[in-house]
Amino acid sequence: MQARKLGFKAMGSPCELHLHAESQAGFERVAEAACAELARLERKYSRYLDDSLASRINASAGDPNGIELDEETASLLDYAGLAWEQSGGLFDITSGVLRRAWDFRSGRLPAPGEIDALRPLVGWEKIRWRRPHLVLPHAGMQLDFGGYVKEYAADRVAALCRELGLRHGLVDLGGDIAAIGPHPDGSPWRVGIRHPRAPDGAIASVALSAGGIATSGDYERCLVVDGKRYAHILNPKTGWPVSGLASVTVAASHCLIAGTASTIAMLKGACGGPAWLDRLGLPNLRIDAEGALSGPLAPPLRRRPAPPHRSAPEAPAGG
Amino acid sequence: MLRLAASLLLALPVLAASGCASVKPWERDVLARSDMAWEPDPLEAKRNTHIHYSKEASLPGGGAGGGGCGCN
Amino acid sequence: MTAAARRHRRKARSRAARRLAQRRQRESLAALTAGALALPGLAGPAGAEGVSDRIGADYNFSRYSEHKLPSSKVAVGSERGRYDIDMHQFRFAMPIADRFDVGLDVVHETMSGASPWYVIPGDDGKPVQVMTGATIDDKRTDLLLEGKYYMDRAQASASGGVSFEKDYFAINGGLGGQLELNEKNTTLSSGLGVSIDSIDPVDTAEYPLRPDHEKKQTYSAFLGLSQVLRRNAAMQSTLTYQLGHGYLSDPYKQALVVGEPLADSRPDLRHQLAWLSRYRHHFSSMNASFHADYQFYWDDWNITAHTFELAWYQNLFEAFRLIPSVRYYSQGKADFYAAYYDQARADGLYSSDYRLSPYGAISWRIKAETRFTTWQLDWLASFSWERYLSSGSYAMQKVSTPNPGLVNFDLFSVGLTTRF
Repeated sequence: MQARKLGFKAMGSPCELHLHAESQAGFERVAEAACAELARLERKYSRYLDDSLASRINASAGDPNGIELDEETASLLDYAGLAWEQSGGLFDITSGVLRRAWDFRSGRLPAPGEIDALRPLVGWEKIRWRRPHLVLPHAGMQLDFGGYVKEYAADRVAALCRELGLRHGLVDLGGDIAAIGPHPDGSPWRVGIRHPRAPDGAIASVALSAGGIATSGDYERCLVVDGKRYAHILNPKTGWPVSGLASVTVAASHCLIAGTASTIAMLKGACGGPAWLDRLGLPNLRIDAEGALSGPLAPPLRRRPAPPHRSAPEAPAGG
Repeated sequence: MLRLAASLLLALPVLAASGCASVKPWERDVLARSDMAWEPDPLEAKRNTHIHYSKEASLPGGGAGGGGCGCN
Repeated sequence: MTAAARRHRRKARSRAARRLAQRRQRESLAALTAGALALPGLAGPAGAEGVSDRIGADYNFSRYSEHKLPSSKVAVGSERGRYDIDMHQFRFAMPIADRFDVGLDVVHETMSGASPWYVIPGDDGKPVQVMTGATIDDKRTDLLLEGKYYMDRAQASASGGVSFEKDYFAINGGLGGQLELNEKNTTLSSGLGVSIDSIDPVDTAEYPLRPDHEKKQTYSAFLGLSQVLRRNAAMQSTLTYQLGHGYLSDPYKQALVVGEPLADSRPDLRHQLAWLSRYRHHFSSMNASFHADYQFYWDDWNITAHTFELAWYQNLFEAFRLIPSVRYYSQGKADFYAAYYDQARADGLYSSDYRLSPYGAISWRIKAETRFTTWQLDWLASFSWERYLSSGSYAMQKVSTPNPGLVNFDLFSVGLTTRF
């Protein structure tokens, strides 16, 4: 059996599928099914596609009759509700509307009052969700599945590969990673964790043979104004980007859970995040604004690579 | 009676081939449940097969295997 | 209170607060996990099929006890207790390579009691059963080793086993294959089996009608088709053919022919066909599954039989399952069967065995299962009780002279399964 790799672009990220398959034909069959599943999820949950379910949900905002949702979407909403509850209101899929004020491509900060004007549209507690019926009561409200659907997709693709008979492989959707199973000899996959200030270099490597890994960081999209970084992760309560942690990586039984935990830790920031993660009992790695590593997955000090030079190119704004 | 049974049996594969939408691999959560297995408890199935086989004329269907016995 | 004591208490309080926070946090992980598992496809490495990565050990104890025949059906002087069997079953399965697993099945039974011998006409013209004189005590041990190889869309298996009794020895082997088609919506399965048996009846000196040594061979083949119908329903249809060749009679039974007991004597060839169809349906609103099985059977001794079985798997409170089931069976008689014979047959075939007689049987079973985790292992404990009643009047067809030896029994069973 041979390890085969397929690279492609899906959900706005570079993706890789690593599979130990008996034959190239078998590999292609599975890879095709995996891509089809990703395409399905993207068509359904992308807010950039006008005919997606996500767009239809958002178009229903303000309609007192609301919209009826299918089983899969209902379970995703239930999950979002749980995450909102467990994070004390920090993980909130209604907060996407704040991006109207925060244009990370523009290079400018929101005008005064812009955020306050949007705040009535933010808050999971404002929506009326009684499975399978959803009402977004105020026109302009939005649900954003982008914060967790890629992690869910990684889990789905891994499960799909297992269903199709593969037992050794890895799904990597732009850093949201789910293991199908270890290498055929039982050894785990080595997953490299990127350094937030040098996204092409790995700063640590984590062993993974089951479950998933996800990373949230301020490098994916951010705004630098007067030397201050504004990350794309917005606190739904203040409407402002969080600061303190540069990135958080979490390993869990599912990529989805890992992603939720890392997002919540980022939102909790440098003070609350690390302690919250440790109490959660999930293996994790934090990198703070100064580039210092901590957490159970951090490599021992002497094996750490030298921190990148201060003048290393910053991730371009809007990158 | 025989004719009824025969027509029932002939209908089954036809039913199986037609009236079913393709269920995608990721929709197998229900079918993978232990209470949806053909034989949820293999030891029990083996025991019941053995007992019925040794007390009735009929043959245990479901597959071959297992040894004979001098059951009285 | 001293400053040290205050400090100590403060420390203890903050430790307790930390522990509480930690517990809450664990609960929030459990909540997220439950939410994730509710998403389609994320409930574990879905694959009931496929090589298991865990070692499994199962044990089951059953007590089978036949009801005593009513005195109206037994010849005077032979009212003995019928068969009791204690049965221990073990199963051990483990993966031994990437795509290969093996399983070992061991069955050990101890039997005792009297069994039907032959039938005589009673005073009122109704036949009555004569039971064997002595109580039979025997042990049976059955070993079966099976290996399975899993490919991406197919499985292959091979098995071999032996069965020992004081008066019986059988060696058997089987080959099986399974092929997944149509995105695993359709599964084809087939197999071949052979059993070579030798029979060495006991006490042949006292019972000269018993043969000293006999042999028989059984060959079987099956072909099955499973089809997923919907997300919550599937069905399977399997056709099994079996050819029996050699000594197919029962050495411990006799038939009364024109007032004289003769040895049970059946053809030395038997072709048997069974067509089993099974249906499974899950009702998520009730958290329950419904099983319906039907089997049609025919053999060239001209016996036809129908078996209907219905079961309801009700899941309760996460860890419990209650399974009531009912089974109905009806068979016709073999061509050459009679309770006793007023005339000799030209072909010399005679049997008064109730198993070849026309009758019907109704049985019901209740089973309870519970799952639990102890010593870091997952366990499944079960208890079941089955009652089986047979009668000429339960048959689908009208039976004018039912065999007096028809069996009724109770079966109690306890089981324990673990995975580690």
